[in-house]
Amino acid sequence: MRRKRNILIASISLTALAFYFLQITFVNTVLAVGQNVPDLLLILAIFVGFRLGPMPGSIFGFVAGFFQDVLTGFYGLQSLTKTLVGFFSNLFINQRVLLIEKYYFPLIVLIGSLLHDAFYYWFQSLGSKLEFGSLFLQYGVVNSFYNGILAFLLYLMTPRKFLDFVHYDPRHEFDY
Amino acid sequence: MHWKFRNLLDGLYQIIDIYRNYLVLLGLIIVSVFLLQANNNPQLTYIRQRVIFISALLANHSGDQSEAIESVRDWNLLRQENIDLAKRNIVLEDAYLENVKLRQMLKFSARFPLQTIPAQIIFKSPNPRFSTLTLNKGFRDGVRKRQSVITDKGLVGLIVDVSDDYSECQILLDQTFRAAAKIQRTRLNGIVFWQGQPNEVGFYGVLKNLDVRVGDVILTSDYSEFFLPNFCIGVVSGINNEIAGIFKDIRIQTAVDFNRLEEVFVVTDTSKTASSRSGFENVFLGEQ
Repeated sequence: MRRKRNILIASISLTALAFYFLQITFVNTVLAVGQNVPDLLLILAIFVGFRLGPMPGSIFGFVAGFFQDVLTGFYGLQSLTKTLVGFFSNLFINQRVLLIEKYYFPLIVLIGSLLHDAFYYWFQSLGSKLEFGSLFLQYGVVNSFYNGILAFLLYLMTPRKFLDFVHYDPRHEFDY
Repeated sequence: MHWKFRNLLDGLYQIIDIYRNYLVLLGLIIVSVFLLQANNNPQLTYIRQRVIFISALLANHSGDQSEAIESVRDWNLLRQENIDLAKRNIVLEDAYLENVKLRQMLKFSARFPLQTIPAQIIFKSPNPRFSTLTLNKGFRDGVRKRQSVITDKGLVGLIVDVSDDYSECQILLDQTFRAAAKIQRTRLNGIVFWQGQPNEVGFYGVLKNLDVRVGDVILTSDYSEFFLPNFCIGVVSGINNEIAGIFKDIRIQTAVDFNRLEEVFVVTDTSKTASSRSGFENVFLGEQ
């Protein structure tokens, strides 16, 4: 159990690191549509929360968010939003939907991204002349759909072995 | 006594075990809020003002109305007064800081020999990958594509998009930004580009055997296609000769602090004559 837990943490960390570098290099330039860019780490935070439970989801979300905060210089905002999304994505887990997970998971990513971006852009609009509505429609909604589509493609590309390995079983939750 | 204490501890462990997910979430939220508190930007100032306003309202309605104890009433009055003064203090501090900043900009505008339009930043791109600023001046105000954007400290960036009332400025700290530049002391030329660090850019193209020192001022070059010459970019903050290749690895601390940027000037004058005159190089250093 402990060995599997360590392998799990290492594999998720390596994936996160790869996603982080992909995000600041390939995704931000090649996959950008205007100013709309998908958020790989948000997708991964939702995946971790969804598959492994609320605690790993929130811890992963916090760490991933903090690393993104370092880039923007606005400390705490992404940490907070990704923590919440990582935690609450587990509410959607349901044994029956795991059969159709490749369609279900992108939907969770879409909803999670919408909530994440709603909070993020609401906070950005505080005390400024920016209108939350237009900001959210222009960036939040489009980015969320982009995240959903990318989540679907990533899910299809993820090896079955890895998906089976990172599997959440509420009856035998990992002893983190 | 000993077993009672043990039972109490066991009960506590059980509670922690049951609610551990929520405790971790609470802990992470508290850490995030502490991190947010460490920032000093308009959003946080706005929230602080709201919090003080709400606490002032609450204090107004929840004060002890009983007149039985004189000292309690006095204490409430003093607390109310303290809250009012704190509110006023925040407003005055904001106004004072803005006043100091605007005075500096006004002084700079008076001594700057080129035509400029003052503009306010109304939006900083939340995406770290597209480092752009949206300004509240556009085509109607005389802003055009490829005009330089500056502050009294130095170069901010370049206008890349203009609508009737707004314009977009690409800043130095952008992956695709490049500018021809020179070292003021030795006149060596090179290219300025962003390396991913906040308020820091790289300077490429200076051979390892040439003279560069920490503290050297970097200016836009006469070879620059988009920028007028002699705009201050920053100061050399680090030099590394221990890298592969024939060029030095030079890091520049930008003259402009991009974290605190609120107002800028768009340089509408595109003639190179004024900025090529002697003495212009020091206009950003306040030595003219």
